[in-house]
Amino acid sequence: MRIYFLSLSFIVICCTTAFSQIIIKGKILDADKKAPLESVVITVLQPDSTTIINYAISDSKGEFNIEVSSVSDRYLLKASLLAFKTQIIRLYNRNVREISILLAPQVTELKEVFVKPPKIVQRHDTISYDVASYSNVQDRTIGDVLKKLPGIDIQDDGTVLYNGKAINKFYIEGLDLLDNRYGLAVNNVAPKDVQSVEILEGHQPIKALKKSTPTDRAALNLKLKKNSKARWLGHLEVAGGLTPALWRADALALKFSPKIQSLNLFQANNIGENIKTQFKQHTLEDYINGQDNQSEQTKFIKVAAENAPIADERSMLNQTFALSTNNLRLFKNDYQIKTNFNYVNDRLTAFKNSVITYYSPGALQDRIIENNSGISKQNQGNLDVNISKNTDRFYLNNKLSGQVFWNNTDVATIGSSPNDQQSRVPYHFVDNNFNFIKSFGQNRLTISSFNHLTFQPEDLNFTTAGTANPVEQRADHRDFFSNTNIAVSSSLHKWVIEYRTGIKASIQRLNSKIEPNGNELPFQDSSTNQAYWRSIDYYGSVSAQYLNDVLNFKITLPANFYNTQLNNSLDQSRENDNRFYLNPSMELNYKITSKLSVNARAELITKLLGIDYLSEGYIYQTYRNIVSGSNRVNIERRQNYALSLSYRSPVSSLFMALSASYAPTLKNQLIQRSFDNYLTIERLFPLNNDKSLWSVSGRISKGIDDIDAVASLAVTYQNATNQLLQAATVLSSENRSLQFNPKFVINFNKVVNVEYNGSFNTSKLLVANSPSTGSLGSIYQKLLVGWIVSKQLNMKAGVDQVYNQLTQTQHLSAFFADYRIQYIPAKNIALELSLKNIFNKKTIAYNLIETASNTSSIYTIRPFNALAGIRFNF
Amino acid sequence: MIKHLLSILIVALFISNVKAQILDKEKLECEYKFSWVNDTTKRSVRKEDFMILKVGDKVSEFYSYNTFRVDSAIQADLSKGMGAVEMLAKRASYGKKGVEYHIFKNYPSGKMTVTEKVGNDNFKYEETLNQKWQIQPQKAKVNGYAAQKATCTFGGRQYTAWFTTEVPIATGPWKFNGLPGLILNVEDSTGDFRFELLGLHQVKGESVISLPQKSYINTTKEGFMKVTAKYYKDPVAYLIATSTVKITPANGNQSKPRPYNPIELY
Repeated sequence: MRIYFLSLSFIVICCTTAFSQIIIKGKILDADKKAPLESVVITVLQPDSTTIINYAISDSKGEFNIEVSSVSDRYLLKASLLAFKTQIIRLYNRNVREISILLAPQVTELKEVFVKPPKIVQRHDTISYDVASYSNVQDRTIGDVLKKLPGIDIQDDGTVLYNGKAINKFYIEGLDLLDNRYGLAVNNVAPKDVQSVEILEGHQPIKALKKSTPTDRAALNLKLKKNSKARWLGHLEVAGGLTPALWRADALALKFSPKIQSLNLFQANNIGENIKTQFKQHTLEDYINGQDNQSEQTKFIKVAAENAPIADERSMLNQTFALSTNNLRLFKNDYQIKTNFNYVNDRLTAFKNSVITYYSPGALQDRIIENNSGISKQNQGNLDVNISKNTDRFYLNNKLSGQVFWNNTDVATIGSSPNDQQSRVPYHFVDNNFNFIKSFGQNRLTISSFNHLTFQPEDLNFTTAGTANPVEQRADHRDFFSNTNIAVSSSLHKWVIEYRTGIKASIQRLNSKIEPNGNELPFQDSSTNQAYWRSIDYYGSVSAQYLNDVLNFKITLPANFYNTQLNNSLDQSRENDNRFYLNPSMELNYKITSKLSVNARAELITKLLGIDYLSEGYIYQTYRNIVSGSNRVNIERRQNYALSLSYRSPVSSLFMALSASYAPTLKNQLIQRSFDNYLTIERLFPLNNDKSLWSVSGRISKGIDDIDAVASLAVTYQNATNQLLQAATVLSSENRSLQFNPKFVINFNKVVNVEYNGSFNTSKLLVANSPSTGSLGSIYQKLLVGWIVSKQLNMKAGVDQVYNQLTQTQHLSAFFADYRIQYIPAKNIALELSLKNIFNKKTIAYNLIETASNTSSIYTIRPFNALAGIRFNF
Repeated sequence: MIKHLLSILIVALFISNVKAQILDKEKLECEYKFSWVNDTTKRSVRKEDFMILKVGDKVSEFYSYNTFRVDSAIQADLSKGMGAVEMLAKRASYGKKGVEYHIFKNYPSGKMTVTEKVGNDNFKYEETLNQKWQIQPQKAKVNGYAAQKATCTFGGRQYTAWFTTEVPIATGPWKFNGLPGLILNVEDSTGDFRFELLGLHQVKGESVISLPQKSYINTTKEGFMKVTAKYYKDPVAYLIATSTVKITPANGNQSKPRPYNPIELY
C-alpha cells in the first residue's frame, strides 16, 4: 500500500455540555474537493485503539454526532471511509468539541475474500463436484481426483462407477469425444484445467429417447475452466532411470473448443505403467439393442506371458509404445463427425514358477510343476469413424470400426514337462453400427443395423523335450454377425408401447488342424475341424412401459425363432434345426424420495453358443490343455434377478448403494475333464450343467467436510456354483467369497494428505466329496502420505502390503515402499524423482483357486526402480 | 404449473425493456450465503440462496444472484423472440429462483428502498435506517478480518452480528446497516435466518447500482407485510384476485397455505 497524501487538520470551535453526556459534533470533508463526505464511519476509541466507545456515520451533509459519557485525554477519534486515508485524532481536550476533518483520497487495497464454491452442488439431476476443493498439486490427472470424490470409484480396469454403477457416458464439455474409451481422458486431462466434475443422473444419451426411455445410469461430464477452453493444452515429459535402463516419454496435446475437440498423445515406457488400459472400451451398453450386439469372439489358443496379479506398476515387465488421436467436429444442423485412432505396440516378458493341483473326487491328485518364461509381442491398431446427429426428435448414428491385432507369444517351460510354445493369435475385425430414430408426434420409428466381421487365423507350435519337430496347431475361424431391426412405438398418456421385429444372423466357419510332425498325439479322436455354423434368429417383441416423474416400469416380451444349420465337411454331415424361445424381461425404476431410488429387473436370456463349442475335433489351447466341443447345439438359458437401492444426499456428501443379484443358468452340456499325464483334456458332454451366481453388495461413501476427508467402504459377498464332469462323476463346486474395500482420503490443512485403500478377501472353495481347502484370505492395502512443503516442493511416500494365504497354515506377505519428490521451479515445469519398490522385493507368491483346481505360483516382479524426469506443461 | 407459467409471463411482461435509474457507482462487491428455515415445523430443512451486496459511495444494493440469473436467462430468451409456452417447456433449464427482494440502503439518504415481487405485482416501500446496535466486547477473526460482535433487535427478532472496522462501510446483508464497519455474519436468536460472507472484492470497472424502473405499487412496510401474509395463506386465490389472466385451477380455487416464516415479524 502506498500512501501518497496525508492531511490532518482539526479546529476546536465550540464546546457544549448536556447533563453528564457529552456530544461530539463534527463535519467531514473531502480534502481535495472540500465537499462533504457521506457514510464516513467515525468511532471514538479507547487508547488501545481497538475498543469502541461509540460511533456514528456521517450524513449527506458530512455531519455526525457522537454521544459519550466522558472524554478522557487519551481517547481517539477515528474517521474512515473506503478509498480515503483513515484519520485518527486524539481527543486531548477535556471539553466537548465540534470537529472538522478532511479526508484525503487514497487507493485502498482490501483483503479480498474469494467465494469458495461448495464442494458438491446439486441442481435437478446434476451433481457437480468442485475440482479445486478435492485436488492438490500432487494430482496429475483428473483420474487421481475422481478417485477421491465421494460417490465415485474407479475400478482397476479403469471403469468409473457412480454410486456403485458404471457410468454410461463420459463427456468433456458436453461432447462425447472418446466414445467409450474414456480412460484416455481419465488418465490424461490435468485437474488444473477442470472446473467441475458433473454427474448427470439417469442420463439417456439419445435425446430422442429422453422422455420415453429413462435409465438408472449416470453420465460424467468434465466442465473445463474458462481459460482452458479453446486452446491447446498438454504436456511433454521425459524420464530415465535404473534398473535395468528405464525410460518413459509422454506427449499430450488437447483442445476443447465449442465445435472442435481433439485429444492426441504419444506415450512410451518400460516402467510398468500400463498405458493400454486407457484404450479399453468401458461401456458396451446400447440403448437400442441392449447387449444383443456384443459379438466378441473367444480365442482358442491361450498361451500367455502372465504377470503377477498385483498392480501393474509392480509386476509388469514391459516395453510399450502407444499413439492415439481423437478428433470431433460439430457441423451445421447438429451433425457431428468423430474419428478415433489408436495404436499400441507392447512387449511383455514374464517369469513364473507354478504348482498346479487338480481336485478329483476322493483325493487330491495331479500336481504339475511349471517354470515359465514368456515373451508376448502385441500390436494393436483400431480406427473408428462416427457420424451422428442427436436432437430431441431425430437421431442418427453410424459408426464404422476396424481393428487389427496380433499377439505373438513365446513361452519356454521347464518342470513336469519341459517344452517351448510359440503362438500367433491375431484378432482382426471390421464392423458398422447404424442407428436411426425419428419421432412423428407421439410416434417414433427406430431402425438399427449392426454388421460385424471377424478374422482369427490362430496357430500354435510347441516342441516338447526329446522331440525334434514341433506339434503344429492351426485354428482359423471367421465370423459374420448381423443384427437388423425396425421398431415403432407410440406414446399414449403415460404409456409407451413398442413393437420391434428383426433378424439376427451369425455365420461362422472353423478350420483347424493338428500336424503331429512325427510326434505321438495323446488321443485317437479327430484332430481336425471343418465346420460351418449358421444361426438365424427371426425375432419380434412387444414392450409396454409406464412412465411418470417417479416411476418407470417396463415389460418386454420377445419371441425368438431360430433356424440353425451345422455342417461338418469332414463327414459330410449336415444338421438343420428350428427352435423357439420366449425371453421375457421386466424393469422397474422408482424414486421413493428425492434421495432414495430403487431399481429392480428380471430377465430370461437364451443364447445359442457358436462354433467355439461345436468343434468336434480336438484343439490345443496350450501344450497341456486340449479342448473339443460337440456336434450338439450348446444352449444357455440364464435368468437374471437384480435389485438395487441407491441413496444419495449431495448436501451432506453421503452416497449409499445396496444391491443383490441372483443368476441361475442352465446349460445343456457339461464340460468333461480328464487327465493324461500332464495333459488336461476337456470336451463337452450332453449332460445338463446347473450353474448359479448370487451376490450381495453394499457401499457407502461420505465426505466429511469438517476434516476435509472422504471415507468409503464397499462390501461384496458372492456365491458361485458350477459343475464339471471328471472321472465319470459330476463334480459340483461352490466358491464363496467375501470382500471388504475400505478407502479414505484426509487432507490436513492442504499441507499433508493421507490416502488409504484396502482390499480384504476371504474365499472358500467347496468341492463335493473332496476335502475343503478351508477359507483362504488375501489382503492388499496401500497407504500414501503426501506432504506439500511449498508451492515448489512436494513429496509422497507410500507403503503397500500384499498378503496371500496359500493354505490354512501357510501364508506369504510382502511389503513395498515407494517415494516420489517433485520440484516445480517455474509455473510450467516440474522435475520429479521417484523410487519404487525400495525394499527391492523380487518375487511374489500367489494362490489361485478355481473350479476344482488350485494354482500356487511365484512370479518375478519389478525390482527396485529409480526414475528421474522433467515435465513441461502448456 | 400455473405458478410457473405466470412467473414466466410476468417476467416476460416486466423485464422487457426495463429502464433503470442509476443510484451510485459500485466500489465493492460482497457475496453472502443466506440460509433460512421456511417451515418452522421442519427446522432441519434449510433453504439457501446466494446473495450479492453491491456497495457504492452512498448507496448499497442487496439481492439474490439466483433470481437475477433466472430473470436474465428468461430475458435473453424473450429477446430471441421465444414464446411463453416454449419457455415454460424449458423452465427446468432456467434453474431455481431465489428470494425476490432488492434492498437499496441509503436511498433516499437516511432511508432504504425495498422492492419485492409478490405474485404478479412489484411492490416498493421505504423504511428508515434505524437499527440500534449494541457493540459487544467479544472479538474474533472472521474470513481473515478482525471482527467484533454486535447485537440488535429488528423486525421483532434479535440478531447477533460480526462486523469489521477494517472495511469502513456501515452496511451489510439484507436490511442490516449502521455498524462502524462491514457486517460479515449475522444470525437471529432462533437460528432461522443466517447471512454469511462468502466473498469480498473491490470493483475496479464501471459497474453501477441502479433501480429498475418498473410499474411498482408504492406501499408502506406494513402494507407490504399484509400483502405477503395474504399471499402465503392462499397463493392461488391471491393470483386469481390480482391477475388479469383468467386462471381456473384444476382442483377448485383452494390451494394449500404455503409455509410462512417471515424474517420480519413487524
